[in-house]
Amino acid sequence: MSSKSEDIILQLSNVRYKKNNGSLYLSSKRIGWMMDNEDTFHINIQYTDIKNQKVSPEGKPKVQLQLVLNDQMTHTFHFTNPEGKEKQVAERNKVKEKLTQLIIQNKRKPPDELMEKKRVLEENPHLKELYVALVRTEILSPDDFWKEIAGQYKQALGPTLDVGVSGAFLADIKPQTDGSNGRVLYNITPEIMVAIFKTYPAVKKKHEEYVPHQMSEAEFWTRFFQSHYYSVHTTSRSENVFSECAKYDDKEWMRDICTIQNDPLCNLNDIYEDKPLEMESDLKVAGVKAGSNHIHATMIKRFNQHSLNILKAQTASEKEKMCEEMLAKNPDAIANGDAEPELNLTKNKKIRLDEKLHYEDLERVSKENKPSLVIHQRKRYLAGPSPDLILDEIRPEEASRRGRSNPTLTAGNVLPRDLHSELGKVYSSAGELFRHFWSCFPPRTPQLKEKLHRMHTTLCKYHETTVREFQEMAIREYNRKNNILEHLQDMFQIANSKYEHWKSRNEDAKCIKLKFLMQNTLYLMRNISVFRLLKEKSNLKMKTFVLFDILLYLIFICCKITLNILCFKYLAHSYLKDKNLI
Amino acid sequence: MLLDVDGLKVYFPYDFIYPEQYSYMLDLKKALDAKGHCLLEMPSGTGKTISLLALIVAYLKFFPQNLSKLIYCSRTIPEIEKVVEELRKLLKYIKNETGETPNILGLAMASRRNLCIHPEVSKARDGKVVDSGCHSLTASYVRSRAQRDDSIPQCDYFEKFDLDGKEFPMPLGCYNLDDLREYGRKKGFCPYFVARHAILQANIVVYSYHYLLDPKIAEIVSKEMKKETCVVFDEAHNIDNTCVDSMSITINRRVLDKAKTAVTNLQDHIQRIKSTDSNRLQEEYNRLVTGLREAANRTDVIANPILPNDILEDQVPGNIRSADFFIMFMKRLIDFIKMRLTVTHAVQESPAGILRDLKARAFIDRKPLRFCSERLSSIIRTLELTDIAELGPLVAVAQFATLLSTYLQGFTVIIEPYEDKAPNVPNPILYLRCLDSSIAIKPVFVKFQTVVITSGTLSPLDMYPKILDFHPVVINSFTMTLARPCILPMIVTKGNDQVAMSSKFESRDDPAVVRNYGKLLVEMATIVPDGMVCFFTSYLYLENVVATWYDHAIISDLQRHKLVFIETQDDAETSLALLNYMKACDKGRGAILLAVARGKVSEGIDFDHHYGRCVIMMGIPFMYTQSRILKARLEYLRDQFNIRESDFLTFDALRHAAQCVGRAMRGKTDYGIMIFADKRFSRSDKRNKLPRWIQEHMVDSRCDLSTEEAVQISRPWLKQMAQPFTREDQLGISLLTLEQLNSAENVEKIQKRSQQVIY
Repeated sequence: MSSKSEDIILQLSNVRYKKNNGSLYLSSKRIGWMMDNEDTFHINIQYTDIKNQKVSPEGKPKVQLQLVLNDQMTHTFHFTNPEGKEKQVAERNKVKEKLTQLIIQNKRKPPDELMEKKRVLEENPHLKELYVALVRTEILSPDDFWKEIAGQYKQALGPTLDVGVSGAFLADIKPQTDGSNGRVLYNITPEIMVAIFKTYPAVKKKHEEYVPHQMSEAEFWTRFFQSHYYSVHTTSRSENVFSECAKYDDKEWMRDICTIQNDPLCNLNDIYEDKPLEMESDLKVAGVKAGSNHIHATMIKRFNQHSLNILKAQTASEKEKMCEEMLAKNPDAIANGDAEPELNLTKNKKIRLDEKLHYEDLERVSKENKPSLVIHQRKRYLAGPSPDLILDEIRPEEASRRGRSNPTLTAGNVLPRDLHSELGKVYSSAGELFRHFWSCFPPRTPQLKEKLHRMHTTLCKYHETTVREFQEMAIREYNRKNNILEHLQDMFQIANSKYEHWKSRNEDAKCIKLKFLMQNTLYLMRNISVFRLLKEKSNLKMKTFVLFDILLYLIFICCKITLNILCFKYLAHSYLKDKNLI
Repeated sequence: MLLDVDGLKVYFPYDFIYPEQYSYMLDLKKALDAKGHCLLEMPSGTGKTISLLALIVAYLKFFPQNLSKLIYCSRTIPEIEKVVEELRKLLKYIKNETGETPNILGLAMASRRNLCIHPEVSKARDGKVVDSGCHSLTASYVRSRAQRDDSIPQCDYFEKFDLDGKEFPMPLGCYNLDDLREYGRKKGFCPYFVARHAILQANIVVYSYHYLLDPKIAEIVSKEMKKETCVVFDEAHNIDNTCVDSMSITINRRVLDKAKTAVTNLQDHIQRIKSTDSNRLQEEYNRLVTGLREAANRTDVIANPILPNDILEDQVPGNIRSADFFIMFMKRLIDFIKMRLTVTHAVQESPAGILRDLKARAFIDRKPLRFCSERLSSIIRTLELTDIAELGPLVAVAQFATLLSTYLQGFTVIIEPYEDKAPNVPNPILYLRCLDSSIAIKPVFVKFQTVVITSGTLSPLDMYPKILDFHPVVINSFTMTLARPCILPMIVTKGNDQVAMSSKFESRDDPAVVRNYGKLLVEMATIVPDGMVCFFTSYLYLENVVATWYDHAIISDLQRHKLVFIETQDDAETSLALLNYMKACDKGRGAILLAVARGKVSEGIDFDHHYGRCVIMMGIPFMYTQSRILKARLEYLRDQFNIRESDFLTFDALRHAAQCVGRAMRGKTDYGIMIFADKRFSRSDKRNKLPRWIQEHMVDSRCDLSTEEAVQISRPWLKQMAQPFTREDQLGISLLTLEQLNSAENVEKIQKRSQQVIY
């Protein structure tokens, strides 16, 4: 191959191409053919260019493999192993299988990570600006940027949508008649299988039960294509694997029919007033409804069932998603209150009636209908998740709000366009940093603390490099005073003071802990001296040893609580000293 | 806004008004002033109901001596509820504007099934079971027995109502079915009887057609209404069939067998009563001598199917006065009908012929037959039977006898050995068919001062006065003023291969025709967004076509674009399909509903906005012309009213076609394609019978299209319609403010548009 670094996965000689003998090579990226006694590749095709491959039918004298490319070009290889036809076929099949795998592998490869990042940046101009402002100036490392800032963007983009099931997925499996044998070939892809499973949960269940314990995958699908699911005409359900599925489906169908009885507007049985003393039930002939063809009737029912199931498959996946989202938001898994169903129904009916009566063009639009928030658990909504959030005197949101609502920003004086856009960029990137900074409060976990430190240093760096530079530039080139950045400076100051405040308190807390420990240690030391006295008096060596061990353990626990290794070291040291003294 | 309609101050609960609403009110006022009947066609979705209610509420207020009540009849429960909600809106508006509560009591009324709140009885979903359950708790003799015996259950709600509900007037306001139930629960009154009682006092009553047209219930419910009443039949395009059906009775062998058992049971009861309490039978006998009027009890469940008053004054003939004799009489009657049912070929006879035969073979005279159903209800009362559902077949036989002997004109008896569609299943059926729709509705026209017949599709208008036999003072058809062409009616006559499309009997099963219909549907499905509805001429045809389409893989082509739902003969299944059709449209997935003209979907369900962006009418929905019942009716119409068979058939087919396609349009902001896919639609005799509001938009260039041409026209039209549509676009053309309405120039324009036809 052209680049020597690629490994040859498969190599076969005795392959003819355009009546020339040669050998076929398969690598991880491409397929190649080289004529005998030559050392350049005559043919060199990337797997991604291959549309599909075809093989010659079994009865044919020549054993061939054809590659159809995306641009409709074809290449035909003729397998001519002198050992005979069986060997040729075996070789051909080997190539075919390998090729299938490789084509799929090459197709399914996810796009390059870098490309992906590039795409994200291109799709979000704002993010790109941030990237330029923060990463290029080395305020943030690229990893941090992607982890913290871009991650949130991805989330904001919203969840990806599920692909629904096509209505004609069964019809799209185009059966092909294979040569002269009268055999019918169905090609089934994983996508079709997923569609079938989604639409018919009963078939999925059967599949899990039967494959591969009782029958092979192929046999299962053969039976599927023979069943009523595929050939709607089929009425016989005897012995079929799917007869149980049919029963299950019918049960579902009946259940659905029962559930719609509550729909006040669509139930055809209910919307008409009864005629008095109707004897329709008596007048009907038992058995088949007059005039209707049984086969056609079941067929029609199956069409309806099919469409219903497809709809259901869609709603089911949507529901699952909803549930997952709910769970993610509400990890206690408490359903947020249940509305009463009975009430819902009549209300629903009224709303629907009103909707039908509504003439949007006859009414003035002035009264806006604002959607109201439905709160099932009022208390929970008002109190918030937990009251222990309020830890600091200045709430982070408040601080940022205070900062943002400051109206001094460039009010009254219009900025030159360049400066304005520059200022915008500075503001947006600073804002992003601030957002991350404030989101660290209250810093309760070590990770958050660490992030806080990091963000603070980043902020300082940003302030030093970008903001100051901008300020100087503004003064130098536009003869602007500091006031355009006053607000931004304010924000930096607030953040800074908050950080300092937190830091000092944090250190204060450390000191207090230390003091407390020291006192305890002193107390212990005193005890130790008591023990020493005891020892001197009684001379019970063994017992004291045990006692000292307990003491050591106690000290260890104490230190563990305060999480202060230093402290432990100090105490242990003094203790050991003591022991030496003993 | 406060409108001035020909000198009448009308509160209209919107800030804007459609011009046709104004002209509708003008015409309605004319009819009310003239105290005559009227026939008004106005496209659905142009606010017919609200204009009607607004005008009549104003009229009730300013001319209480001329008009004291409005009876609004609609077809389905949701429609009834919609009317009450509109009324609620109107009353609220008037209250806001004037500061005082309008002196109006409006309520909806429906059967016990919809109103019962008894914890046990209301559980049943079947109307008959609820009725029978209610009756077993509230019949007068059950209650008198319960006074003696505490173990007999009673309905507390009914008892409470009977005790003090009757004197307790309902507070003013308007009550929907849910409100009635709520009111009943709060007060402890039975909502059904509260409503029954209150409709006498109420100014506005909304209920189903049957309460007025079906003499069997009209007698019970609507007897005491005053003449100064305005009756409105909404969605009345099918009113003649309702009339005919309400006076017709069908009997087959099973009904007779059940009737026979019921008679035997009755006999047993009589024997038992004789041994225990023979006085009771004697009392009844005496009562019957003095006349039926005494015997009549208003809360009866079973009533006489006929209305002539003289029968009630009369004595019951001697030969059925005694209970035993009556039982024998009924047995003979049943045996006679059974004997007549054994036919090998279809028989059609006049009532007189059957009566003669009865006289000859069963020795039954005409006179006692007339009293049959009244006599039956009397004996049921005397025997204190409660299980009304069980007696149903017997009651049907009695009603058959009464109708047969009362009306010699306008009825026919048809006996068929089997159903036409299932010739292999022997199932002899006897039909007593009313042929004259004016018989049932006549009392309504006579009794009430103004009857308004209105619908979105009443064309051709001159047919209704003929078949209903009345003389309207105002007939008018309003069109829809539109700021943009929001309906696109097209007649597609041929497929892309130039083979004519038609549901004509000779060619309907031709594979080329079926395929062309399928291709039309597929091609439209590829360009139409959201929901599509397709109507077939009959269920049988729908089934065959779907089967053929499946074989030709047209169904899978459809599935590629939209989900496919199909109406079936089972109501529950169809409801489910319909519900999911709407769900699919809501989700934006798009769906196709294949339904049947004249089916339940075509009659009661609206496909507004995205539920129906395109309606395709596959063929002309003619009635099944081989039916003997239809033939008899056509003959009668020809002889009595000078209506040609083909005229009536076309009229009937086109009103149903219009009804089907009209389902898609529910307002001026809505838009939809209407495709009439049949070669015969392009003929002028068919085209001109469509409602004016559809005809107006049907230009000649769109009356003979092939599938491809139709798609070519639809595509840009859909794009154009999908553009935002603002009020400014509409204002002054299809929407008016109060100022615009007050300008003389505009009024003149409106009047010119609503071309007047006054008799």
